[in-house]
Amino acid sequence: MLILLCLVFAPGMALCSELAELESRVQSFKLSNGIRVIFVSRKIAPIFSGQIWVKVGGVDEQPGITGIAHFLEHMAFKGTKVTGTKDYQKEAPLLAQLERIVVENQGVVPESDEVRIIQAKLEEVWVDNEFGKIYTQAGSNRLNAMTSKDYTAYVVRLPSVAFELWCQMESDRLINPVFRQFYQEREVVLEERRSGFDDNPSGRLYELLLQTAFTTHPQRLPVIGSREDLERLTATQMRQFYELHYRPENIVISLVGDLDLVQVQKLTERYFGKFSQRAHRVHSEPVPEPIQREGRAASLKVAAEPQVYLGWHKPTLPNPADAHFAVLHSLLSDGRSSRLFSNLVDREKIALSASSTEAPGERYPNLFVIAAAPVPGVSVDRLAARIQKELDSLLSSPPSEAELAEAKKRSRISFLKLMDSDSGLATALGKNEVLHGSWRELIRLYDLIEATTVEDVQNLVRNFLTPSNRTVVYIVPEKS
Amino acid sequence: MRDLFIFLLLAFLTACSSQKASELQLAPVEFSIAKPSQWQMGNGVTVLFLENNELPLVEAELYLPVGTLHVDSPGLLDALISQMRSGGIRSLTPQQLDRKLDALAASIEGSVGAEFSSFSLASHKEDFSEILALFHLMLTEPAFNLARLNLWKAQNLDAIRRRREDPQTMAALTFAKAFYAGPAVYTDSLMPGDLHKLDRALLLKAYGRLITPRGAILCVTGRIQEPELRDLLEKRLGTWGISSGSKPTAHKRMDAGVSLLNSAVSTDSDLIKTIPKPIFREVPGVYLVRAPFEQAAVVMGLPGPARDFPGYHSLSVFNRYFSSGGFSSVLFNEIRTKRGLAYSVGGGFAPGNGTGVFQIGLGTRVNQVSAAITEILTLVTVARKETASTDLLREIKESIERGFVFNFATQAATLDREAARRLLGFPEDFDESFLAKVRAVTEENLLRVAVDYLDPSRFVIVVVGDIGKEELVKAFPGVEVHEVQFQDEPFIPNRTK
Repeated sequence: MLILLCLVFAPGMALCSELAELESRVQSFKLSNGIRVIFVSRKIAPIFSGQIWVKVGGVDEQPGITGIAHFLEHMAFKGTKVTGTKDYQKEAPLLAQLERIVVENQGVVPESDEVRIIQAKLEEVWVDNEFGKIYTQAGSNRLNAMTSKDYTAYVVRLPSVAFELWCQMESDRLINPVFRQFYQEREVVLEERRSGFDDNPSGRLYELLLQTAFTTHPQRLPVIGSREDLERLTATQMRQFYELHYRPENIVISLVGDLDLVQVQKLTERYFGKFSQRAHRVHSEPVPEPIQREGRAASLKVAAEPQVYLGWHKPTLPNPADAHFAVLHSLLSDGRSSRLFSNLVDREKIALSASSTEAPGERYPNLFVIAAAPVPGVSVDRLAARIQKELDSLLSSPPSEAELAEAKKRSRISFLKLMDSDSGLATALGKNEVLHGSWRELIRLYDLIEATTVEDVQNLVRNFLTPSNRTVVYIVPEKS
Repeated sequence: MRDLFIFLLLAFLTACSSQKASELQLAPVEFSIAKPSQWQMGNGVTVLFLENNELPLVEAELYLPVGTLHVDSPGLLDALISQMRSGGIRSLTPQQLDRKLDALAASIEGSVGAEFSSFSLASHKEDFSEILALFHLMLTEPAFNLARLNLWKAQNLDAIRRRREDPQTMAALTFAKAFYAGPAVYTDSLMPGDLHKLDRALLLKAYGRLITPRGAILCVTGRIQEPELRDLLEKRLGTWGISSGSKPTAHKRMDAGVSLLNSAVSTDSDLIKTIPKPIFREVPGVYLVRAPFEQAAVVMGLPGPARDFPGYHSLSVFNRYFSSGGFSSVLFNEIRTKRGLAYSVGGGFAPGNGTGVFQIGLGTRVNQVSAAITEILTLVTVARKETASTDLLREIKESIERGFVFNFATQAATLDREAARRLLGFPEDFDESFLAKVRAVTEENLLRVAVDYLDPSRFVIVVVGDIGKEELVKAFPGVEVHEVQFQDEPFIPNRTK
């Protein structure tokens, strides 16, 4: 929730006027199949931000299929039964034939003549990147998608005249995705994994933090997927995963821009309303992570400069402590006068950088994380100890009321800036709706932050930011 | 009858669901570019203003016509701009200044580009006057606190060390040395020795010469009315450059390694001439930096046309077609989609001041580096013989036309674009005439661009990764393969034919 820490009111204001105005501008409704739509009309230019939020991410995976939610996001750009192919009737049996061979080979694509022939026939019917090309031709801007631990989101900005096209394109890929070019794209995802994690010391350290802090919960699994799993994933597994999670009740449409409500209601129902409800499934929640009873540490020996990450288990919304952590984050690392920068970097000169965040997702209890880089000559142990001392000092020298109030004002201004962007606002609304069941959770969070007291912040130190609840991971530089 | 109706309805729905989105006819995107109010302050600062009452915020961006290409001392301009913000002012220590800004939830931050720099300000409308007053003190009375300068140097030293953790950064810096012979503003990146040379006295000198209101452009947008803004700016910033006595003199050069020619009195186009022209090394071939990365970074490039190239709009269209059009580009289709060789690949022509560059970057696993480079060179060769079909060219132009509105998506975007246009010396009607000129681009224009500028045998190709030189020599017969050390000075590659 730290990213939304920004969204808070000035002290003494139960609800700032801008937020009240926003509340009055947000239109939300459900389509006949249960898909939720959030819409804010904003007529700065004849454009809109269109976002699809799906409640599926890394926490919905198990070992063996790690990375499948993110991989599915890639595949959603490969087209549908009418886009990306010259002849789906001809293509479908070829895809099935290829899939049968790969499944028989435990996910490996054999280098056989049979495969080569199928591949050649498929290439004849494929229309490469047609999905993206249609958007590009319509004048799209920032066409993208993202997958986190908690969600998958498909985002784009388009001229308003292309709204019906957007409805048609997005509904089609939600309802009728075709996983063509699956095994070529698997290589691309492996490329992404190598550049973002395998060859990236910070990426590897982050994975180590999650693997050490979480012992059983899927929070410990990498969203990008393990190399071993990715190399064996099949289109068949993806189809099963898609059918399990891509269902109307898991989908939120978030729209901000120069559109009319009537048009939004009519066209979303016409296109997205075709997504049939799926048979009810019993949602199996992951087993909660066992309570951590003693501190953990792990290191990564790699040719890189030293870094240290400290993580403490913490609750997420609806627990009010989540909002208190948002305030703590602001006190610790929002601005140059915040405690971590001013004490560790500026005054004592033991760190080159130090900042806080939360990871890896928000649907389940997560970690409050502090990342820091020591100055040469300072050990990561010393820096980690000093960070813990800084947190403990919140008990002996608590933040003043003025410090707390300023943190809240910073958050309020950040919130206003968020509202200054179509896509920023669409993201805040869509994410809250899909993760917490209502975009109004945004407002509840502000109320919680506004109500946060000095004692609430101190209770975090007492209850959560303890050495026994802490995981420390660090880089041990290795000479290259 | 009811059954017939249902049958017809189903038939209709089936037809709807199988309709291709591309078959939808889109109306033209109609919009007009907002014209900012414009005036010149008494000290010479040009103000561009667009009112925006949606939120109680005011944002400002002060552009200064000085960038890294004007200053031949690596790191000096970055240090100057950063320390004007974080080094405090005469009346407030750095910590007091930080505290004041954080308490107001306001921000003032500096940034440095190749041809211009800027300070951005943002605050609640009620605090804007106070923020301007603080900003005025930063502009006129920077203290350049020594401890903050040392912190900046330590952080940059760390960043220099961390370059070796990122193959993309290593490839980009090596490319600069392999591609250009000079001047140093093109070839050299910040090194520890440069940091050691930077001191407070040097910053003060640079400040006196480079931070001047002449040629500066201030863009303001937010909930404030023009008369109030005019009054506020004169009151708060009007004395900058006048009362301080630091009015810069024309045609002065800094004696400590800074050379900013004529910025104080020059027009935009005069200023552009002050940027030195790069000298190309013109030693094509493959430059290998061996580093322990499984995922190699590749940067490849050729000299390209300048910003005043008559076929400028052909370059925009060519980029969209060949390399920067996202899902539509030739490179994305062939390298990522068909071959699965790279997660990211792209680039294109970047017309610069006096000259330009055509550059492509990608990341790929080490055992496919040769295949990826070979494929790109093949695609370049093909682009010189055949180009976008008439239909494809029409589609590309349509996409540029429909997406043009996003350059003006907000008031701030409109103002920033106008400031950049002026600072980079583009003609006054650049935006108004842009689409007409794009529409006029022909297939012959695209072919001409490729034939004139994309000679596959002239590429400078940098590879960073865990790959043997022998493999590259074998893969590219007849091409010089140079194994070089990262950041070695001077840049003398070992040649292998």
